Amino acid sequence: MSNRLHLSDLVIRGFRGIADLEISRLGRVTLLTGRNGVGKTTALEALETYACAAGDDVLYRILQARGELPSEDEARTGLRLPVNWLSLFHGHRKWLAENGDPLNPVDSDDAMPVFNVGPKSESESLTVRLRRSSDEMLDRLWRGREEVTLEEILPLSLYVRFRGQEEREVPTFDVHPRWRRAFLNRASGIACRRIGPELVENRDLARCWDSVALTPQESLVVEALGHVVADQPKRVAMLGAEDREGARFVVKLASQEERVPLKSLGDGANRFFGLVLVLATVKGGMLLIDEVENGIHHQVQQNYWSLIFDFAREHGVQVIATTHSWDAVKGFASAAEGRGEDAALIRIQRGDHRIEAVEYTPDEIQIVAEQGIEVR
Amino acid sequence: MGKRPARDPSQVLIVEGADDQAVAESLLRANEFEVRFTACPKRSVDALIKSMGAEIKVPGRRVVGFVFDANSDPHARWQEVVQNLEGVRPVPEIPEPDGAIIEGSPKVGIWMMPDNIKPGELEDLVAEMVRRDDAVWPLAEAYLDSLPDSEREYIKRKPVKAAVHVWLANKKQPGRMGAAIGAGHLDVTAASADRFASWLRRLFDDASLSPAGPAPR
Repeated sequence: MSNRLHLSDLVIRGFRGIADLEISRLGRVTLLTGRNGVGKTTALEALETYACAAGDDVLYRILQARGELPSEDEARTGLRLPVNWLSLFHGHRKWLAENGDPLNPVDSDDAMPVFNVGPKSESESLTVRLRRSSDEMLDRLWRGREEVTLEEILPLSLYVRFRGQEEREVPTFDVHPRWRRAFLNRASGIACRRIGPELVENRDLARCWDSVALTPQESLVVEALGHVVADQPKRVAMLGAEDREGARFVVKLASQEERVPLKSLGDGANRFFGLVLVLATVKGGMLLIDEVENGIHHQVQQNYWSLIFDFAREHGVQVIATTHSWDAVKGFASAAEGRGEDAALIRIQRGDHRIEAVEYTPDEIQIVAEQGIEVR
Repeated sequence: MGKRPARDPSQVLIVEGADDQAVAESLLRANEFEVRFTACPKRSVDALIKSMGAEIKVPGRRVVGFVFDANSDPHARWQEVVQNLEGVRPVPEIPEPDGAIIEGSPKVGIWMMPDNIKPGELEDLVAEMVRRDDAVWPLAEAYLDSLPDSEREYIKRKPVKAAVHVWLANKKQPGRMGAAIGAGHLDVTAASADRFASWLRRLFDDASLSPAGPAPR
């Protein structure tokens, strides 16, 4: 397996709240710190957008998580839908104000919204432009859709170029997935999972379990669970249900005859289990973790990070996580010792005119933890 | 003594130990400036030098000053600084006699004791402040000279450091350099001390060093 990083540096331009952010070095495992609202989650969204080459399902999920998708009712009437796609672009409100009528988008490309995510090398980057839809696209969409008028939609498309591949056109109107299926952007990206601050959802856990069950990864996951459960787990099993939502996990602990529900072991164990399980399934890909400290007790932080470092290296995964927690920074630093450039610690902060990245060298990461120097 | 003004956490002086902090603060007070910066003592000169990059990167800081000893080899010490700040801040190749100040955000200052040129430490700066007519200083030196070799424990190449501490032993607050400055026992107009105080004033901005009334006695 290639142990090359998917991204050894990062540029984000024009993506949502981020006008311009440059990071000169990412590690195999990168920890992002910074105050609330500075753009850490947005950076993870940008990374996920990159990894999936601006795939529809991911963009859809990003907008949904931010409450920027229309309700079913709004979707049915088709009102103002494209504004939601516009919100992927930095400064879209200004753009709307200046360009007045999005029904008649300006022809000049320069004036149209665009975002970039990827390494500095442009041939490896993702560029997404918003432009007037091509006539072919409009023809294609019009077929059998006579009831829809041009006024109900905006004739705008996302033009996606990923790592020098041919540019693809993705229509932005009819955001509702029911209508979009035929036009899905099925991009060939990088395997990538993004975990939010909350517990990993059941159906995601179930999907991951399917892929690790009875593989060497399964025992790694069970062993890892031992870091956060006092009583060493021997086995974990998923119990079926009619749907994946209803699937549940049970654990056999060393000291008890009866199996116990994973849920009964507390939020910490459940979050940890979810993280490790997801990590075990993104072989050769990227794992993005928002608020990595959630549910992870400070005493197990170092073990937790060692596990992430080992897993990441062994399975060619690049991990990028965010945190507010000093315990997470300390645990990360302890686990990073001796791993050199595998570790990167970066703070995102508001500068005078833009957000900026403050990057710590591997040596500085150690000093920071040793001397308790603030990095957040 | 009047109520001390609140410390400003965005302006920080990183020092080797409490003595460096006390000398910096009492020199400023003797020059009738209030001290608002926050001092941060490190355990050792090595810990201080290694921490420089990370301390400059602490969020929310406007000014970060570093004060440390040159010890026996000022050139080697300065090279450590240059190496540790590579990629963080451009540092002059050789130390500036008046103390380095590197503009930017945050503003960074570097002072190498005693005077950015000579080998030595904080005590050398203090020794230079001892008045020529000081009656005790020759006695302190004579005391050290009188020690039989078998009883001599101070580091031989640091006779000034030893003499300063013998001299300080005779003060009301024995052993405290800052207190000796505050009590007027030392000449704050001595060349190196004066340049050190000027460096502090140039480094920390007006908000942290407002001219105050006469130094409290």
